[in-house]
Amino acid sequence: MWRTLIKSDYKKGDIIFTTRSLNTQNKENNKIFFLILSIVVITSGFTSFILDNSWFLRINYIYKIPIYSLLGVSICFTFSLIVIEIINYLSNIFLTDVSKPLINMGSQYSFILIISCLLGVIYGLIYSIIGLDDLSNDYSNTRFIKEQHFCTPIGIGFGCVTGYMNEYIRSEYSIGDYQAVMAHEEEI
Amino acid sequence: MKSIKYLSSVINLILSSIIGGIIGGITSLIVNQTLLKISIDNGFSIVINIFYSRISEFFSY
Repeated sequence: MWRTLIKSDYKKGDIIFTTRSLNTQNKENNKIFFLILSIVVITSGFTSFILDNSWFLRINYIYKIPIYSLLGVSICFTFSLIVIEIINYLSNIFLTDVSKPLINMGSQYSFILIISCLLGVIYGLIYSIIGLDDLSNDYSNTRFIKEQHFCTPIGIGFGCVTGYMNEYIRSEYSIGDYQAVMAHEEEI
Repeated sequence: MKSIKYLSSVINLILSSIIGGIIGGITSLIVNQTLLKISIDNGFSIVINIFYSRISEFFSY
């Protein structure tokens, strides 16, 4: 096990800056995409300041939608990055040298992260419409269960589509493409 | 040989859909719980706890 860990060429931070792409234009797009999402995460951290304020709890749910959508996007994005990182780490250990990586190309990253952002918006929308943050009602637990009944099938459906598309994109590239990109990166 | 390859790619697609679905379901549970925690409990401390490690890691490169 330890030998495998040492042999695997996984580096810390492998996910962000080694999103592999076949051309430089895609690489630039990926960088911009990650930059925008990191700004969203930081902004959501600042918006959480206002969640405790009493005026925020009293306003109409329509005004809460952008705030909760922002929070949903940042949570989904962070969770997806963690899952991708774990999958990449495990695939480095268990896959052989001749097999294609599970999530490695820029288009795979982009697709997964776009879907996760979309899911974050949907979760935020449902959360703010159902109004779970209103502590004055006695039915918050029932409402939460109701929200879970809405959100879980959506999550499963989007997850199935994302898994399918990830595998489809993976099958589009040959092992030669991956090796060419890796060789190009080693040259740089 | 070709049919085996085709079959394996179909199995791969089905397996990845199932795994994606499981991850999607877990994500929805985690996101809803986190949103509830953020909005009802002290939002700032929880957000910091969740995101601080990721943000610091991102900017350390």
